[in-house]
Amino acid sequence: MLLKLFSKFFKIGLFTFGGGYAMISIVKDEFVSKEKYVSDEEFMNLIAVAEATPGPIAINMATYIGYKVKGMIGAIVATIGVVLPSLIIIYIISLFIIEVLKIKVVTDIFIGISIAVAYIIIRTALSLMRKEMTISDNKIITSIVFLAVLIIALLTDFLSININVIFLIFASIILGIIIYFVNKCCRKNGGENSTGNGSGSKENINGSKEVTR
Amino acid sequence: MIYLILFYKFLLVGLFSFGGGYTAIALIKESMQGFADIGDGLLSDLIAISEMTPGPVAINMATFFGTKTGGPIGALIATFAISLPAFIIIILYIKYLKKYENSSLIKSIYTTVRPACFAIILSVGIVLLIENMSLNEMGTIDGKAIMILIIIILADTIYAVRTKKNLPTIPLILFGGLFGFMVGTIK
Repeated sequence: MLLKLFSKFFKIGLFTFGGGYAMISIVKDEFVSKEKYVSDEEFMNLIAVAEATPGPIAINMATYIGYKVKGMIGAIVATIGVVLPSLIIIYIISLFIIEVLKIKVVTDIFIGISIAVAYIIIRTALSLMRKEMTISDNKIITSIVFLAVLIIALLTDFLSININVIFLIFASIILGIIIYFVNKCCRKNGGENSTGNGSGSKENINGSKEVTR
Repeated sequence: MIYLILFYKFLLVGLFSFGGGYTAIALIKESMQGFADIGDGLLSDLIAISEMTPGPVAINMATFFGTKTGGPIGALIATFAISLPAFIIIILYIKYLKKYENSSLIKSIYTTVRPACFAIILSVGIVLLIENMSLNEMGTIDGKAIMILIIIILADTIYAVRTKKNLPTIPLILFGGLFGFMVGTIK
């Protein structure tokens, strides 16, 4: 089992070109579609956690899944697995990078890979968003957040403004908290505007009727 | 002594690179500028190579810079240091905070954070694609890159139509390399 974990993450580390975002797609193939270690929804939460916490997404994901599957030792094995190919390959390459780059075939292949990676990242993000829309209780909020963040992210990239991603995530966290409280207050009012987060709703003891909107 | 500095520098990067590898790149760039004997030109090259070679970008960069400044041990130290904060934080999260995942407050937060994350990921993909499309400095569009993109889209679409599934990632990446090579031999 540990060996399987290691080899899966080694494979993931080996084929992750262009960073953690492409890796999301491979992890999904290996752990959600093929093996069902992680459910779709948990996977999406995992990505959010990986995005919101510091560190390379690859490490976050490997640690998370490794820990889930086999506890602390699983986390260590998975993380080492995902890091090892990079360590070995890059170390070897770093010994003669200049020469390698001069070979046109190599750069051609890399350009193709880079484009494929961009395509994969886009495809992954869109399919995650499609899934999100199906499970969302409030599709309007989901869409608005998605579009708003997308526009801001693209603008800051094209205008070369350096906004650390954490600000956007932080803002979305605040929004989530606000919506939570708006929900609580609207439920007291008869729940017309409730976004239906129907888990464990507390009974309203005070039953206040006057809420100015 | 250099190992200590390397450890410290990459530990900081690991601690502050929210949102993944591309943030880490910016931090590493800042951190490595002027450190040891890496000129600006080589810095940009190493960044580009890290994106093109297998492995998570941030790890690749840690390995590269670790090697350049401290040999193989430097590579190990830098990689370890950049991974450590993430490792610890995730474990702590799973052990202590995950149980709150089902509370309605956390669920509410997730419903806004998830689309935000997906939007960020999408923007990264779009920017990467556009960067690849306009390789010439003058901003003109690279015809070969467009060709490669079209072939990739076609391949994925045909596969999806015939098997009702997306072309899996690893084969798609390998195809990308193949198409890149093929298109490169034209002209």
